[in-house]
Amino acid sequence: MVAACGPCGFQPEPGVKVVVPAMPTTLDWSHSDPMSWVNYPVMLATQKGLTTLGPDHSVQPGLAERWEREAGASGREVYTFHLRADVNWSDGSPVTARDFVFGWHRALVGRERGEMADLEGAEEVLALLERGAPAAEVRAALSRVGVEAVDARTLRVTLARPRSYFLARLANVYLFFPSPSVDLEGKSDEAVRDYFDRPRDGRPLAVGPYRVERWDRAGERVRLVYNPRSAFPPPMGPGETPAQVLTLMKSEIGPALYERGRVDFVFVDSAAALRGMRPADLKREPLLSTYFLGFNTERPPLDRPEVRRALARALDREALLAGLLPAARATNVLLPPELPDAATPEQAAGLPHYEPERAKAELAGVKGMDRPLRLVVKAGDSFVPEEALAERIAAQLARVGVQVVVDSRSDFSAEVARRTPQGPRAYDLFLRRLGADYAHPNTFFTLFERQGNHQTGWETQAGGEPMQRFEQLLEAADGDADAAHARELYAKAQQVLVGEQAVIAPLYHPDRYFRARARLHGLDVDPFNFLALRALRLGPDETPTARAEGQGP
Amino acid sequence: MKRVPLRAWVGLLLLVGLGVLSLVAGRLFPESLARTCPLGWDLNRPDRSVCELAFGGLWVSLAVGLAAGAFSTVLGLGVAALARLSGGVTEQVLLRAVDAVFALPDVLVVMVLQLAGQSLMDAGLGGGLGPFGLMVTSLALVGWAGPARMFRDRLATLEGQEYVAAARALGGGGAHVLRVHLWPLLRPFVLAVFLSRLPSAILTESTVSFFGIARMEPMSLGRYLGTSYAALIYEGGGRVVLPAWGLLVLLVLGASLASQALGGGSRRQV
Amino acid sequence: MRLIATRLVRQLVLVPVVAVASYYLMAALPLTTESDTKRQVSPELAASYQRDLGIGEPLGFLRPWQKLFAGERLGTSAQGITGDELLQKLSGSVGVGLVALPLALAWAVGFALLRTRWRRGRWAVLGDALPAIAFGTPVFIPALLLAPSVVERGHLLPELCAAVVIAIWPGTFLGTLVGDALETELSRDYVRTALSKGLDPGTVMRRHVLPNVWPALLDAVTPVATALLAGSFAAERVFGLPYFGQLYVLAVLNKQVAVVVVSTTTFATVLVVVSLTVELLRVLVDPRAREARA
Repeated sequence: MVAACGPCGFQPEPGVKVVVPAMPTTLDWSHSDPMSWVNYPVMLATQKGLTTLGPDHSVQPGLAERWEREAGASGREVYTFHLRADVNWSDGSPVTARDFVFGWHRALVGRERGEMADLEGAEEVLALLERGAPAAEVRAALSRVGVEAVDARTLRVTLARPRSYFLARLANVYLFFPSPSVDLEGKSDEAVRDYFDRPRDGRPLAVGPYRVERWDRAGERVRLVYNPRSAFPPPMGPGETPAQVLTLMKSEIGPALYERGRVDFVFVDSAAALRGMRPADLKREPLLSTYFLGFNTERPPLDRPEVRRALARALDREALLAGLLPAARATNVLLPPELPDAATPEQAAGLPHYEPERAKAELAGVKGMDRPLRLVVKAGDSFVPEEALAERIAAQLARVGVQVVVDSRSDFSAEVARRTPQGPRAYDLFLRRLGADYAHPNTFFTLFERQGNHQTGWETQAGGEPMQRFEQLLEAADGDADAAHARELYAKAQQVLVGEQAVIAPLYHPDRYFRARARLHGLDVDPFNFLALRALRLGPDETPTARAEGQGP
Repeated sequence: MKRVPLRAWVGLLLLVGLGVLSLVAGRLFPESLARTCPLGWDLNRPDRSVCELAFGGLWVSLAVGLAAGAFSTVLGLGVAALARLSGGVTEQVLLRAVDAVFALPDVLVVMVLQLAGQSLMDAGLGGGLGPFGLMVTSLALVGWAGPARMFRDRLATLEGQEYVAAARALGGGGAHVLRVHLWPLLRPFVLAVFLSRLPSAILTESTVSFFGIARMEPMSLGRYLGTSYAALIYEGGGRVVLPAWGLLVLLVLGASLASQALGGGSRRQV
Repeated sequence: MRLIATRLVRQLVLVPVVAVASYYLMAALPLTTESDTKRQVSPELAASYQRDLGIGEPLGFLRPWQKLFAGERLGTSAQGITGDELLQKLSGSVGVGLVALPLALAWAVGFALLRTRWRRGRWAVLGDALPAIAFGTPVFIPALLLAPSVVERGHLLPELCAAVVIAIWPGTFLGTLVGDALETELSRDYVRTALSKGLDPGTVMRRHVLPNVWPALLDAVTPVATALLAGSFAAERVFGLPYFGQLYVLAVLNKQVAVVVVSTTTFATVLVVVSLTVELLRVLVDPRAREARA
């Protein structure tokens, strides 16, 4: 029998073990996946962007040691990045400007190509792909896109229009990370995808402090090993050592394993776990994120902004969250207060907030309210107690005479996008979390643009005039080099979206809870809800007992 | 009524009792149940009581189990009758098909059928079948093979009886013999088989829900167990999982007592 | 000999039947159609269907197998598998199953003996209650109770516990069957004769009764093996074992259709191998089977 099962017996993973709520969907960072948030921990630990974000979310040099920004012809913006000379891939070969050109070209035809739309010429590629143009035509268009290798260490990037958030995006949005072009050029598409998704023989190459060694799909485990060649090692203090092996795993019983000292990091997401005991090492990370109630603006009675505003005023956010989570940051604004350029308290007071009497008065005599409204919510476990919140919203709205039926769906996104034969979408209300990808107000607004995935149908409101105004405000803000002025413009855009049109009613800014051994220094969840592994190192005490008890120095 | 053994009565009573209880508690008066629930609130849905969810789920599970059990029994009976009536090659082919379906575990086939059904529904080809209908259909499509085999064997045994041979000799056709002479003897056996399908349908549903493959709406007992099982590893989680588990065990106990007693009783009659 | 051959063929026929049936079920899904609006899966997944399933080709159903044996990957790069991986995963599950089978048999015989003893005592009710509890308990519940103390401990502990957990249900089922057979045998004349001749009950049980019960036990091994492998699906997930059951569940969740087809057929093959082994054993163990077939 021993012979029958080969490398027999599934052994416990070596090294530091981290329980994650979901496995990556792909390791191919250029081609990527719209479900990309689960891929971030691995991508951020193994790769690096041209820039990085400092602790205060400010843009710092990354793979590029410096850059110049200049205005180009006909309103374009040109960046010239100078790559660091000491950065190598994990096999020792240098990272070149060619690696960026290759990676970005792949990203432009990949699954999240919309993210690349700011590049000069990207619109043309996207349009060609949209109508299924022949490959040769796409290739020709790609060669005209605004990314070029001036020499091995100089990369020139041209944007169609100035974009103040572009440098912040380069740090976190992994589609902008370089691809090892020497390994990949000349390979077929499928071979390239296998290169990333089936790690072996030291591939895929990495520039970050770790590289992926193994991905066991059935076992739901990703094993990372330390990359000693990385130019970005964790900041080692006295007595600290790098973690040689790091395993990301999924487990049905993560918190119990942590309790028993068999894993070293665990997210504490379930309300059940949070409401039980509060361990001393439970940490809370406020996220740059907003959970909101969305309205179907195409279906009566929610097709009128005054009705939506009244509903937004009927919600007592504090009461909604009471007792559900250890702490909660209730809100009526879209931009979280930690964000640079967030709304001021005066601006927040101008947006709909809890005013039950006013809500009742506004809703009195409104036609079409006799129909129960269907609130669609995502079923299943999440660190946002979605179903509980939905039931409380239904109860609160009942108090102002609005009937709400909660419909919790595991096929949430399909259900929210589903249209009735008459045209409008089939839901009335939905609940959803929006998280920042980078520390910039822009990341909160892109969802609600005409091309965004907001599903509220608000581009049809008042013949599209409010949407047009909103997009113009964003356009101006994104291109504005003057931060104070840009901030005012973003506040105006927020006023259109949340106040005047009341397309959404923000509810709270979620937090993430986790537990980590004290011995693990620098292991953290960042405000983008990404597990941050790149600064991880081990404290001096590594005896098994000390490890089990979490008694690091 | 002497022919129905005591154990069958106990089992049936248990089943009917659970059914009535879940109807009254979970469907008709959920509010008063929620107020008086001694087990407190659910951990993941803090505004719902454990009793409410468990009894509400029991009602849905019973409905799924009864519907799926009935469908698969009827389907099995139909296949068995067809096999016996046609005989020869057709019977052999049908029996091989039965073997093929029976050999694979229910959970596996239900997973595949759910995958198929859900992708049909996503494409708008569901034919008005909701998650409930899809679950019942896939459980019925899985569950017919066992009953078919049992009915076919039982029919073959019964046909060996002398009075059947006599009826045949007097010119009774296959359908006539089946309807007039065999059906009355088969009836208690059919009930027994039907009852034996009930627990396996409910359990299969719960396991598939545990994997997150089924989208049972409204929440069934199985899905309740399958989604809140994780509470078991937390303090106080026992009060969430144990009642639902207890209800499931009682349901199975009732069904298997009744089924065994009826099946055994009819065996002795023959 | 002809009888044995017929039975062999009957068993073996199951494999192509399952292979073809699962293939056509999957090929008929709207997942694999040309139209984007109906498909609702990512272009990668759609492309993998085109590559792996050979839809529309006359011998299309052989395509996944051809790729598998050529060592190529089935499914997408991120979630697909190769033949090697499939074999490796399968060997893990079969290993767990091989441990669970004797456990189930031991539990069955033990339970049957206890039940016969309880039959007339005040414990009779246990004979009904125990199976009800076993049947009414989804595998994942005992698995969860055990899991926190064994997961990630190594030394084959998770495997062993998975085997214990999945053996409960089939063991009880088997025990009920064997118990019935035991009762029938115990009420026969030869037992009374042996007892009246002064043999002690233990010897009667060992020398006379049990040999007559083995065939009933053998009959039930195939369904028990099915149940064991099915139970391993849930157990593997809870115990974090990266074997065949996990692979199958993930393939279904990720809509890796070609993997589902291949795995389902592999599963059927394993079951056929089990039932062929049982047939062989029966010929060796049960003289009646030998005579009937000679």
